[in-house]
Amino acid sequence: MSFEITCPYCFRKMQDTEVLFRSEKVNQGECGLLPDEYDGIEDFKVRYDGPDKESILRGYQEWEFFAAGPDPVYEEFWAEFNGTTEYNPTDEVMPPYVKSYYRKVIDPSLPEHRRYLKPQGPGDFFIRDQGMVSGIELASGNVTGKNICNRRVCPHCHNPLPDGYGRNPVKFATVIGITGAGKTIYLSQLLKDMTLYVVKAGLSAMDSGPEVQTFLDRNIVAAGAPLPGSTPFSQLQQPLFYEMSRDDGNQGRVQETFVLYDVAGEVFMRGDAALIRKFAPYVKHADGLIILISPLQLRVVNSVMTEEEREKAKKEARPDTVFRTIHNIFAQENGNTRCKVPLAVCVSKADLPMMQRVFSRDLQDMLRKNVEGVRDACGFYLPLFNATEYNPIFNELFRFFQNNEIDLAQYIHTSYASYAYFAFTALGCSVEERKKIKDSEYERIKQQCKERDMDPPPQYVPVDDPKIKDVLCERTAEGKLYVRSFPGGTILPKRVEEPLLWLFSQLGYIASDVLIDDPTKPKITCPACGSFATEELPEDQREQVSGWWKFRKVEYFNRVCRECGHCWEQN
Amino acid sequence: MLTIQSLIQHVENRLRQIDRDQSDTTGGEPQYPQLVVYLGDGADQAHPQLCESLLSIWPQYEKELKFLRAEAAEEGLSLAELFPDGGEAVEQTEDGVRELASALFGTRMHFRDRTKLLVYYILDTSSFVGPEDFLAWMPRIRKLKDLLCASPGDVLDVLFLLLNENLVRRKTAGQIRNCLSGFCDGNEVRRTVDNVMLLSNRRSDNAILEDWEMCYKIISASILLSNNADTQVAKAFFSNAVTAASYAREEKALPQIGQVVVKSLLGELTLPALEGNPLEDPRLPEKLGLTQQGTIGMLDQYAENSLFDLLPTEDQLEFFPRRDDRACAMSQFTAREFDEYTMGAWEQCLIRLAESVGERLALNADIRAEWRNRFREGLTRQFSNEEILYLNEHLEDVRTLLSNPRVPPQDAPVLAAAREQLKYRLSSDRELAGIFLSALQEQGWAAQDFADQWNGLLKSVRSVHTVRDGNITVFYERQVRSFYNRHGTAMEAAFSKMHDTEELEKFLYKTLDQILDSDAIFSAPFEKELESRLNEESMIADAKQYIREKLTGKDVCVYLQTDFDLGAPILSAILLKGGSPLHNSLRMNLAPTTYYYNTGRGSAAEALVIYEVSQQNLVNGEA
Amino acid sequence: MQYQYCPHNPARYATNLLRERGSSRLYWENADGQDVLLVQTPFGVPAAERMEALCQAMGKTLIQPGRYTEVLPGVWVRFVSAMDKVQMNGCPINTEASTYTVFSCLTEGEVCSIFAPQPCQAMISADCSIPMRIRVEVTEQFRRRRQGLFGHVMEPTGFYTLSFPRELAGTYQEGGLFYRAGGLEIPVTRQMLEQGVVYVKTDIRPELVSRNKGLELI
Repeated sequence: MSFEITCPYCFRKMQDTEVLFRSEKVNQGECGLLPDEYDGIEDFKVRYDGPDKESILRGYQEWEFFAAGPDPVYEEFWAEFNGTTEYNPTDEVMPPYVKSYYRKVIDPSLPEHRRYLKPQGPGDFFIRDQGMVSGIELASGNVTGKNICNRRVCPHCHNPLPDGYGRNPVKFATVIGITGAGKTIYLSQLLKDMTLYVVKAGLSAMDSGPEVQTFLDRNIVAAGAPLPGSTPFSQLQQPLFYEMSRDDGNQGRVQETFVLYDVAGEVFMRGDAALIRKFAPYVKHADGLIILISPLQLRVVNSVMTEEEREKAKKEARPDTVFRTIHNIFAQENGNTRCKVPLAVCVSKADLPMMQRVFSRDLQDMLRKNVEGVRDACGFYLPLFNATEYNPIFNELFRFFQNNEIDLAQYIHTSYASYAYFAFTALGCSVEERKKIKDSEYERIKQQCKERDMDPPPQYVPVDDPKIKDVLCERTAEGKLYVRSFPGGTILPKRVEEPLLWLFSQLGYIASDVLIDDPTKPKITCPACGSFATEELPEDQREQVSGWWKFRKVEYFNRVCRECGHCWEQN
Repeated sequence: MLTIQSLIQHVENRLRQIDRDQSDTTGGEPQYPQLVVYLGDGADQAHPQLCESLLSIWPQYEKELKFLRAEAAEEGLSLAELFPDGGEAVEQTEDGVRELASALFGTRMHFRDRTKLLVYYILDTSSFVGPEDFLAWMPRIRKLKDLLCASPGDVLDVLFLLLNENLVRRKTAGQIRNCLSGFCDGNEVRRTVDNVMLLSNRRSDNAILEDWEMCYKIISASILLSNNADTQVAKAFFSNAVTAASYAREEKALPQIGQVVVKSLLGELTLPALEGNPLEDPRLPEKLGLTQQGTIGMLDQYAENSLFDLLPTEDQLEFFPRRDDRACAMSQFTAREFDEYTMGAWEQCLIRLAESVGERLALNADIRAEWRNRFREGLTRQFSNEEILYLNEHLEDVRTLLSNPRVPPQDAPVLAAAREQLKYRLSSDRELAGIFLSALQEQGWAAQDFADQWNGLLKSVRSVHTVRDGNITVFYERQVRSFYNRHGTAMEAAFSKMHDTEELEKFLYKTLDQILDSDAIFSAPFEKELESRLNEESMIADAKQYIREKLTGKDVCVYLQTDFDLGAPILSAILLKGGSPLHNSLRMNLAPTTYYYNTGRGSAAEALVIYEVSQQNLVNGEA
Repeated sequence: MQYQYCPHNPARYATNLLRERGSSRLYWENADGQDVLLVQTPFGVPAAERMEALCQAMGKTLIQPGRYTEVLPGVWVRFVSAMDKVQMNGCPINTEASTYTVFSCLTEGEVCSIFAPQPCQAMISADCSIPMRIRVEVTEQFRRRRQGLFGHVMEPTGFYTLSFPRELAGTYQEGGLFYRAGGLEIPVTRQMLEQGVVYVKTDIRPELVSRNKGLELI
């Protein structure tokens, strides 16, 4: 039995037996095996005639094999993206204190590598876990005596494959945030409570690998902490891995791997073909897309902004280009057809005051509520998407886009076969600009406060705080006041998980409690009860026979109402 | 702010005005075009006093007397023209100064002789740290002279040197005196100016003066005398010498007279005290403008004029809601019955009407201002200051009185009752009552302000020094009392009705003017005024002798201290009103060589004696 | 009990007050385990601006536990403990046509501190206005008039009836509704609502007008 694995970095396929491994044994610094009087290995080879020459040379070769250093294959991959973003916090706290990607990559298929490995059977160097290759064993261990190497890497790009990756089916989803949409804050809020969110869809999620925690550590969203800034758009962020499991409805569990990519919208807005080419695989291979739009990018919102809001708001690009570029990427593969990958079009920052002017009261009321899952009689969540709750939101948003952004709505409608609209707020509170007191000044203020037995002010203070003069505050290189954004109140994210749960329903992880409204299909209401919950009857159920003998009657129906059970023939 | 000083100043100014009005223009006039130049720091402080003195004698030359300020600048001199009216100095270029000098010789000027230009330099040594600071001015003066006239011979000039000889600057002053000692030998100073008049703050009686006020008077008298058709007199000032001067002045004691008059007047006036409790006065509602029903008269008037039309007509009453569908004539109901039958709709309708009127009035600032003003006028008419103060202190009682009209009876026919109801609602509106209360409050503040001002004024009397000359006090107190005896009743009546500071100020100024106009003594020439006072007290009979003694007696000081005697004066002059009894008396008694300059002003007499300062009186031990 | 209104404290928040769709229940979010005060004010009148006066008035009023108490004319309050919130799944509204505001509160001894809501985004806020939709039937009155031997015709009496929903009377604020007739705008009073049906003598159908944004005529 073998497993086919798709690399989450380069998307090339491999068998589990083809994976490579990062070595647990790492040598650093000078090799201590050569006597001092020799200038190097060549010098040693020529001049040394001692009996232990061969054993020293072998030892030297082994030392060199495990020496830490840049890996050309890995470096070449990341050179495309301005350097690697891989970060593993344990590298800094655990010996040998070397970055993971500087470890020697061992290829068990190479004889010269096999000499350092311990065979697990005749001609077999692999350790397997539930049938899938998970590691190799070194012939001689590292300083801590650890022999097992289970840091798998892709044989093509040498990027790490998380534990267990490949054993379960994998789905990729890409989050694209159009400039200013607040993608980083959204992802941070989503990932922080991912386990609580997915449970509403009867799923459980566990992050595999350090990437999620690293993302959360680097992008803290909390009261009193500066909000994360934007990430450099040309850098590829590490994929975020989750192992999703759910009840299979038959006393068993189904496990799947879900990979989230974080891609900046700027990549697709600049018209830079080289840049798009680099990131295109993360769109092309995606099984689902989540695109975030800032309200300020919508024409109608701009039209209702006050002068003050207009002055504060940054000039933001229209989102059309992103949708076109993404569709083009798919079109290169599939011809000029509608893109079948589910697309969640999300309006972020739906709590902004100007949104109150453009969103209907009903929609606002719905968006103010948390997403509720569908529960069984015992109160446990079922693996269902709560379409009953979502459909009215969708219909309001659909109408909103139809009425106010018809060009965008039209383009999405003709280019994507499966899409839905969402709106959420990742903060649920206002954002406040604060200036930073210079470190030196802050120390002085703290000292003064201490002398007066007062609590010192925070180092970041509101920009209009008259007590702290601007001269005491940090400035940017251009001489402007250095300002950071902070949450202006209690953080109450609303409906951030809804697009993801919808995506799960589209990817087949979960079903939905009622039919999810589909903008690509006309809405057919039940002629009996008026419900929208109608669907086509399967071919074999379309003829219905009633009565017998002379009263036998055959009727043809092609549609059924799931609410009242009424069947009829829809032309 | 009204203070005793401002009142005294008013009397003083008024007396000066009277004197000016009585003076004639038969006095001396300037013979030559002239220019006063203030050199360097501090010299231009003489400008206001100099202008006032010169223009009080030569008022018709206000546009023709020119003044310049010259300050040392990096590149030569920075020049500006100063004006007698105290207007802002105007920077002048060198060409500008040339223009100014040329204009002095123009035909529009009234100088009789255009052969010479008289230039008076004033230089204050207070800021000098050594003789070089003084000498540095010589080339600058020469440059200035070049600007003023093509030929040096056309200019006659004199340098008034304000020599600061106080203990701190004595050394520098000594060194400057040394510089001047070479004047006769034709040193640089001599080459620069025709004459130096040395005016020191260290007087011959050893007194050290705090300011230059007396020296400014000497300069002014010297200018009057030197710009003279009498060449003998003028010569004394352009005599190619260093000169010094003694000076004395006698005039009417205007500040002291002012002080006595003001203090006496304030002593006569008293504010009436509060009689009884104004809140217990049965006439209080009426005095506040309330009707017998307790409504506010002004609001009733407004209701009658503007609101009654808004009430429903008899026909419209039919549209009010009913409990049943009986056909009944709604207008025949009493107010109570109608409200009961319409389930309170009638009451609510009137409430809404009153509310909408309230809202309309809230937006009508004009009518509110009119009511406020009318109410304030009524208050000042009906109540004394003390009563207003009392009412303001009991504002809540007044509020109760103002906003508690009697509930109108409900038994009258519905529309008639509605009119009374509307008046009642308007007067019950606390917002509207607030307009009148705030007017009372404002008037209360004004009354308090008035009382504070008055008390402050009385207190400030104590801060004024008593006039030492008892004769002046007794004499003028009697004048004021005599005035009060004649006009006291009217004054008290006017005073008791006074409610604000502005009125008080006007009243006091007017009364003081009346006092000054009431007796000829206030417009009498100074020697006559003195005579009257002295006669009154049966003191020295001959006032002229008294003045002569003051002007030319032993107590008159020279404004320079010298080691040796100054010798015989080169000029003795008296400046006074020509032809006056004092003039005649002095001519009879003083040396025949004394020169009399007719100032045309009877309020003062000055004596100026010029001495030449010899070299030995200039040299001293300072290196 | 003494009530004091305190500035916003991020550690003590209560916000996102909303009415459950189709129910008469209010729901909100607050910091874990904290009690709240619900304030009902006339429609569109924010409570936060009147809290100083409200605190004073509450100090002089006996606040009934577990129900709304009127502490100022038209202003009702109700304390809801963290436990009550869970048990009742929020809190039922008192009446419609009102604005509700939720405040976090803390009782220590005889002092109850009520915390100002956080400066909110427009959507997520501590208040929620609940309008009331009412129907007033305006009906022309007819009477039967005999015509001929057996026939009869219906003819107008010259009256219209206005039929009000009686449940409105309890919380009705005077000046909220008017009707127009004969060139006048005549107020609908609480007494009229209690009466239920009132008569207006007019030939032209009276027109109902709402001056209260919380009362929506349908």
